[in-house]
Order: sequence, then structure tokens, then C-alpha cells
Amino acid sequence: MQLIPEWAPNIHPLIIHFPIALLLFAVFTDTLSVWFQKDWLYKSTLMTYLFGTLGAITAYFTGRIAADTVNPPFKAELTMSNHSDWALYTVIYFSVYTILRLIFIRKLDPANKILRLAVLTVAIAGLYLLIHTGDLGGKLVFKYGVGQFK
Amino acid sequence: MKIKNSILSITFAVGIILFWGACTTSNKSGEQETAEEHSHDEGDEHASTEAMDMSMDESHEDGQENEHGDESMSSMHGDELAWAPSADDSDIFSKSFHFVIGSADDLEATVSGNSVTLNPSGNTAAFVFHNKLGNIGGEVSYMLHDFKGELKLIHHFKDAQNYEFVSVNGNQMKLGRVVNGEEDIFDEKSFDTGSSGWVQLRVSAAGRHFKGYIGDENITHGHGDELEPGYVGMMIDGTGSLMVKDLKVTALDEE
Repeated sequence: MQLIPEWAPNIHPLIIHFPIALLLFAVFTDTLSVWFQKDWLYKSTLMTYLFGTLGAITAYFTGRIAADTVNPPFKAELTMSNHSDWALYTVIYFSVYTILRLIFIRKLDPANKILRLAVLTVAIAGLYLLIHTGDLGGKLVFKYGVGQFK
Repeated sequence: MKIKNSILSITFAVGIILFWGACTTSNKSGEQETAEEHSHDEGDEHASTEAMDMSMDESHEDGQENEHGDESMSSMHGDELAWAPSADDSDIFSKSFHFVIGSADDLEATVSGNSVTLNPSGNTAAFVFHNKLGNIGGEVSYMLHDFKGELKLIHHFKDAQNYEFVSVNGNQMKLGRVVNGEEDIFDEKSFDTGSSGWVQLRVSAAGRHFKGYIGDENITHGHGDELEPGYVGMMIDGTGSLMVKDLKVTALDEE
């Protein structure tokens, strides 16, 4: 059994949806955990952040490999460069955020809603990086047709 | 306690709405830009031609002579600058290019059909379009006969000591820049042309990302700081005979 389906230009398009879904879902459950102070919900949120960040790292490196295997039109090169740069910012942002959340897992008092909201706001700000990266990736595929044909 | 929770909830909801609003505004402005790009497409040719004319005017002021009046063998379609040699012209370079290193005499060019045969003397020669460009995609087709040396597509050319390039020397490609006369190589790899016919050399400089292609295949990829806009053209350093055709440059617009 081959890892990459015959129709796919590379593995990157198969990976990218995981970090998008996981990190969005992590912020959603993080929001819920501020109000519904359940230990299981809080721990699940951290695990979702962790897997979302690991997914983002994987997506970044598969993207770097993919960028050298496709043949984009010149007009798409700048979008591809920006997509790559924003992906790197997203990976760094969520890596630092997740590591800090895991390190200070015990320090964050569940009852301190102000602090919890402040920490949540930092994650929401990170979603802008994620959304913009995804937006540029979508533009590459659907506006310029990058990677649509092998 | 209930009041505190309500205030927190409202504050958070407002924050989410503002964030979402910021995201959608960003997307709408992007769409607007795209729409503007489309609406300007028809006018681009005129605008770009004007820009080219202005550039040419500047080059006149700089002492770059154009003996052939306003007519030019290079043409600007949208954001693309293309050059095709014509056998009717006695001087195939001066209408579209100006020499920044050496002169036309160093290349001994003769037009045959839609291509130019160059017989460089061994002195380095470089000619560039009159326009200064930032982010670009450039391509040229070449065929080596007995040429020994280096063929470069140069861009962000400021002077002979400061420019960026993709070069081929035999089947070796180098991607890099020259800063204050010192060569800084971003990436270097060998490639297989598959045949001894025409080979298309392509380069893209988009933001911090630089790529060199042979045909559709990406060979080199490197990163560096973005430089100020500069001239785009070709540099030839070697001896022997080679043919070139279809030199094109595409300006890459900022999003």
C-alpha cells in the first residue's frame, strides 16, 4: 500500500487539514473550559493543542518539500513565498504557546477566569496566523492551480 | 458572581466578534485588491508601458543612448517584459537593453531566425532591460555549442558588485547574490538537461525566496533578505558559441 494516493501531487495536502481542524477545535474547547471548569476538558484541550501543533510542524516541513516538487506559474511565486513565511510564524507561535501551556499546566488556576481568558486570547490571536496561512494556501491551489495536476 | 461572569462573557464575545471582523475585513480588502487588479488589467499595458518609457527616459538621463527612437523590440504585456530578436535590426541590443558590464562588441551577436548566436570573447558582458523591478520571474532559452563558461540570469542588479543571479556552467546551477563583489551562494546543484537541444533556464525572486528552474523542474531553492528593485537581464562570462532566445521577465505583484 502506498502512503500517498496516486492522484495526490505530494503528502502536504493530506496533512494540512489536521492542524487547521485541531487548533481551531483546541481554541473552541479552551473557550468551553474557561466556563465549564472540568479537569478532563482542560486536559483534552492541552492534548488538542499539542497534536495540532505537531500537525502544524509536520505540515510545514511537508510543505517545504512540496514547494520544490511543484511547478507554480511565476504569478504564484510570491503567494507561495508568503504562504511559507506565514506557516513558519504559525508553527513558531503555537509551538511556544503549547510548550508554555504544558509547562505551566499546574500554575494556571482554573478559578482565575481573567488569567484564563488572557491565555485564551493569546491562542485566538494565533488563529489569525493560521487562517491567513490557510488563506494563502487556498489561493495557491484554487487561484493559481498549484499542485492540482501531477 | 453572576454579574462578574456576565461581564466576562460579554467582554469575551465582543473580543471574538472584533477578531472575526478583523479577519473578514482583511479578506475583503484582499478581494478588493484582486478586483482592482482585474479592473486595472486593461490599463496595465498602458501603465506599464508608461513605466517603461519613464525608465527609458531615466536611462537617457543617465547617458544610456537609444539610437533607434521610440520603437522597441521588447514589449510589455501586462506585467511581462519580453524580448524577441529581429533580423531586421542592425543593433539587436540597444533598443531593449543597455549594457552594464562590457559592450555588445564583447558578444559578437548575430541574429538567426528568432534566436541570437553569441560568440563571447572572454570578457564579461551583461545587458539588462531598462526597467528596474523588485520581485520577478525571469526565463531564457539557451543552447550551448562549444561555449565554456558561465551564463547568468541576473536580477536586482544595482552595479557590477551588487546583484542577484541564477547561473549555469555546463550542468551545474548556482543560485545566489553578489554583495560588494563577494559571491554568496544560496544553493548549488547539478542538473540533467536530457538532450543537447534548447534548455529553458528560469529564476524566481519572490520576497525572501529564490528559486532556479530548468524547464519545469526546480533545481535550486535558497533564501535571503529582500533587496531594493534593480535591473534584470543576462550576464555572459566565457568563450565559445551559444544561442539564446525568448528572454522574458514577469513582475510579481505584492498581494
